[in-house]
Amino acid sequence: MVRWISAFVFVALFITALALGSVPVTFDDFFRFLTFREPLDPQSAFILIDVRLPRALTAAFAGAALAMAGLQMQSVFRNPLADPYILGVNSGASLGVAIVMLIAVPASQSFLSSIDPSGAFSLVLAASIGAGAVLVVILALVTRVGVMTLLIVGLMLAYLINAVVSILIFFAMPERLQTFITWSFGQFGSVTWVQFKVFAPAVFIAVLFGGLQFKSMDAFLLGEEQARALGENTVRARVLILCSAAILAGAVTAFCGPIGFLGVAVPHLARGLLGTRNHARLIPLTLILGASLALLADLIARLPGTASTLPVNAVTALIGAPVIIWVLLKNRSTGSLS
Amino acid sequence: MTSNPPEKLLAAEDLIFGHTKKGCPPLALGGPLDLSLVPGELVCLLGPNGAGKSTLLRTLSGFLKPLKGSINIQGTALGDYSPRALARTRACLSTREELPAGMSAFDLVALGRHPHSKWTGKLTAADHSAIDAAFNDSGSTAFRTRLMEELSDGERQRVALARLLSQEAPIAFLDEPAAFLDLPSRIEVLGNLARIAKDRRIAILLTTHDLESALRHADRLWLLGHGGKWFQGIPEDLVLSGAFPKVFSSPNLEFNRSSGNFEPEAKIQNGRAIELIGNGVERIWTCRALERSGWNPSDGEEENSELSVIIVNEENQTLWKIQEAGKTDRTARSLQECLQLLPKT
Repeated sequence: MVRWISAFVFVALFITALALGSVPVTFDDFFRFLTFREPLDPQSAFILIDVRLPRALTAAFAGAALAMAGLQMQSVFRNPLADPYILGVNSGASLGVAIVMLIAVPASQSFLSSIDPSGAFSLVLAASIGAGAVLVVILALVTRVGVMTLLIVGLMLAYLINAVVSILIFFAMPERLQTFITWSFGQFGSVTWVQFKVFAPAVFIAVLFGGLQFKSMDAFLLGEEQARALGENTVRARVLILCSAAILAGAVTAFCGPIGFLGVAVPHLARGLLGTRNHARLIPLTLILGASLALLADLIARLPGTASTLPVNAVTALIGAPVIIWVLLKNRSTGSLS
Repeated sequence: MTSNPPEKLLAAEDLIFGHTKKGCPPLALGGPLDLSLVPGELVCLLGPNGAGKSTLLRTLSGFLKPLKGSINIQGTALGDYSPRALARTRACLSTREELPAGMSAFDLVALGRHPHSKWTGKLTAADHSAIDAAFNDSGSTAFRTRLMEELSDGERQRVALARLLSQEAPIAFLDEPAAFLDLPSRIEVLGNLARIAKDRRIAILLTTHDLESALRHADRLWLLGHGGKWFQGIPEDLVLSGAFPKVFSSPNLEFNRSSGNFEPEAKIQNGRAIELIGNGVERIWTCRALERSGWNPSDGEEENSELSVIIVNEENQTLWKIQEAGKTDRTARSLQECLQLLPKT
């Protein structure tokens, strides 16, 4: 039941995302587009197919990816507040992006452009490596420190990495800087079809091989040692799950900029709606809810009816930050965070 | 595997266990030991804190490598098992584990089927019957649909036990299953485990601090003291052979071989003499009260005692009569009153 309603909400939000925008499209054209016919007006066709459709698809994929990464990190680290943004994984990805955008591209343009003309692939790769590096640091700390300490360490990691990025920005060429600054605001609208062809498969593959670890994620709920006692190959499972999380966070950060708080909020929503910790059931709902919430955040950010756009990050923070506060207060009363 | 009874589920030879830390030489906590577990027995591992009970348990569970020696489970070396195959052979439960919020008792117990189910994790009819049996044997069927955080400590312990049993492993290791429980649940736990071990023909090894329950319910005891002191045998033999005081050495406690408990060392030397007349259970507790208050009660053999307490049993009531030379007799209705009526020691 919950799943059907969520699927319906997702479809409704997706269609709304296509219907609304700063440039009006006639209802007739929109209906023709929805029924897979070419809109009559070429301008409408361009807006629908090359602007709104990739934007909506990107938002849906990014939301699903961040929610999935959040769920993976919460389960593997056994930390209800784990999320790519909070623990500095997005910052790691940003560093990768900054290196590619500000330094690497001019130096190796001739070599890279021959195998990766759009630069999309190297961007994803660099971001995923940056995200993975932060995940390794967190993994090394997670058994030694408590939930709160880990969050503070994550924040400090983010500050540290952002400082490095600032230094890179200081030495960067002005024309590269412009692209980087625009990227860093975070938006779903800048992804072109060419980039989407890299982004979508990256997310799809990471969700697939990460999602297949659902049984291991169940075992991790009992902690490292009990997971081993249940016959889990914890090292392999953890590497697979966190690689998947790194690619998901990396891909989203590479194309949409640093987008926070979806990852922490959505898994809590899914668990609350289903009333279970069983990952085989949680993962599909987490994906759908993540996609829906990202579409909603993007809709709000676009301020329908106006020509201006808010940074998506601001909107997701408005949704996600209260969830974190709620989790903290709820857990404080039961004393399970320490 | 040999056909000679009793068939050993677990056999360790020349086992030396301890810690290995990076940059430090390995620290042996005990051994070399020859250990075995057979089907249907409950073995309790007792010892003072820090002697290495948990380390030994974790070594036998396969979480720590032995420093020396071999461990065989059902005829195969522990190191040769895949994690999954090992999980079907031995199940582990630690009270120290923390559960995430929002997990139902059924979710938790179903996790015990993890090493049996395919990659889809789908529960078969066999899985469901194993889960039902586990809930049943642990007495937690009533909590099936409840969330773990809603249960009391004792209830949670039963569900955790169900999780262990649903794994259907012939060997079960439990680290302090009685910790955090109130007294009635604590006494129950070991009795239940002894029964389960016999009913299911599995071997259960657990660590505990509850000497009394262990003496009553364990088929065998393993005693581990500081410096690797080691005794094993059935509880009664160990009591009679005086193994307990050697393992739990404490200057202020004395092992009472008749009660099987550690008691504060009697203050006989410095107590003031008092004659105690009476017998039965009232005598035992009167003795305790007097000793605690600094008296040294005697049997009442001596003729001319200056001070005596006489226990009088009168229709549903016990009275304590205090006779003191040169004073009138006084009568107390409770031991508290009796102690107050006695002269200062």
